[in-house]
Amino acid sequence: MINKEELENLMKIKGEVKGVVFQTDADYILKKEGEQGLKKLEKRIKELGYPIDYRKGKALDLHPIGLRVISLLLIKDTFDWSDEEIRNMGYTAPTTSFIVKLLMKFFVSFMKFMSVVPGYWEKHYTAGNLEVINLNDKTKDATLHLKDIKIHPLFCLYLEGYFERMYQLVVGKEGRCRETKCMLKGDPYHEYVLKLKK
Amino acid sequence: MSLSSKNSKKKIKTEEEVQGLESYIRDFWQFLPLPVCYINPVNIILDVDEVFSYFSGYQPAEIIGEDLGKLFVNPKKVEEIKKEILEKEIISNRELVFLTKDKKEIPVSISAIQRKDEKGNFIGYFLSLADISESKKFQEKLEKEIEKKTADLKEKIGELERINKIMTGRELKMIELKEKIKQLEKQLKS
Repeated sequence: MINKEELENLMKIKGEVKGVVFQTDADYILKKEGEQGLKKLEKRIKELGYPIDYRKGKALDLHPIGLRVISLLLIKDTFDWSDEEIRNMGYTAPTTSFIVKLLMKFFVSFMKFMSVVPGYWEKHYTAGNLEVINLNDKTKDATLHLKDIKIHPLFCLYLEGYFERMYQLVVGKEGRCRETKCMLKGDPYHEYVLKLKK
Repeated sequence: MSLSSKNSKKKIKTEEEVQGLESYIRDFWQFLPLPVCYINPVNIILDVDEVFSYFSGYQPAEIIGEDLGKLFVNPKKVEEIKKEILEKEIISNRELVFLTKDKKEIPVSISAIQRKDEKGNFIGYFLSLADISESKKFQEKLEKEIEKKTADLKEKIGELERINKIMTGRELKMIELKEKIKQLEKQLKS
């Protein structure tokens, strides 16, 4: 059940997010729940009074970062989805994102892509810093640290799926991403470990 | 006008241009009447248009991130084509057999063009497909008809040769008989 106070607190978080994330949310809803599903979600968003425009919103417009999580929470609640479905939403997002299309020139190799990862984060969010810590071109292992951003566990899960798909796009093989440290659990940063599936 | 105000206006203008570009790219990919996809240097599909999705039977989210070889009956040929794109930058009309999600085999003609970054490095390629099943069927039908006509012709030639042989044999027999008649006539006269 959605708690209005929790949503309002999310709106107080500093930082912004690009509108592209709502476009990818809408694409996923349309695929999974159809036009009626998207209308149902829009109705709820409108009732709660949050300015998310899933249809006409521009990819590069900036919105309060709290809306990113509000969208995820309302989607999960409206369709009674599991956490795994939200992770899968993140996993699917890179395949439809306009920003990913703009950055395709970096999807040439594992090392090339990892070298632009921090900038990649900045293309989506004005808060938080994404860093590549460990990198091994031979094994294709990588560790990412996401710092200075503490939003919601659902967002962490969404990002886990998102990073997993991005990783697979550059290595060309099945891979896994796991969040091994989390700021919401008291760690100094979020840690995502990327590995090839054995 | 202050410098920050100028910069702010410049930023707004750039954002408007990028948004215009976004809308243009979306519209263009939706309009394209051919199955088109974008592939990275390690042969991973990074983008597909709607027609490609319809043609292959895969949703974009299912096929983006997969190896291009998965979509063809002979994945080795896909590697050869990639090498050719690297060498020639642009290729057209290479024939391959496409494999849809429901395992239907479709003969296709492939065209592709290389993409480079600002430093001239190979960063991927666009690939388009044209369904040539109908022209293939027509070609096969034509080949079968030619084959049948050739067989008919061969049979007719054989028949003619047989008749010719009979006729030639008959004529030789006639000549032989005529010669015999002449000899008999000579014998009778003498």
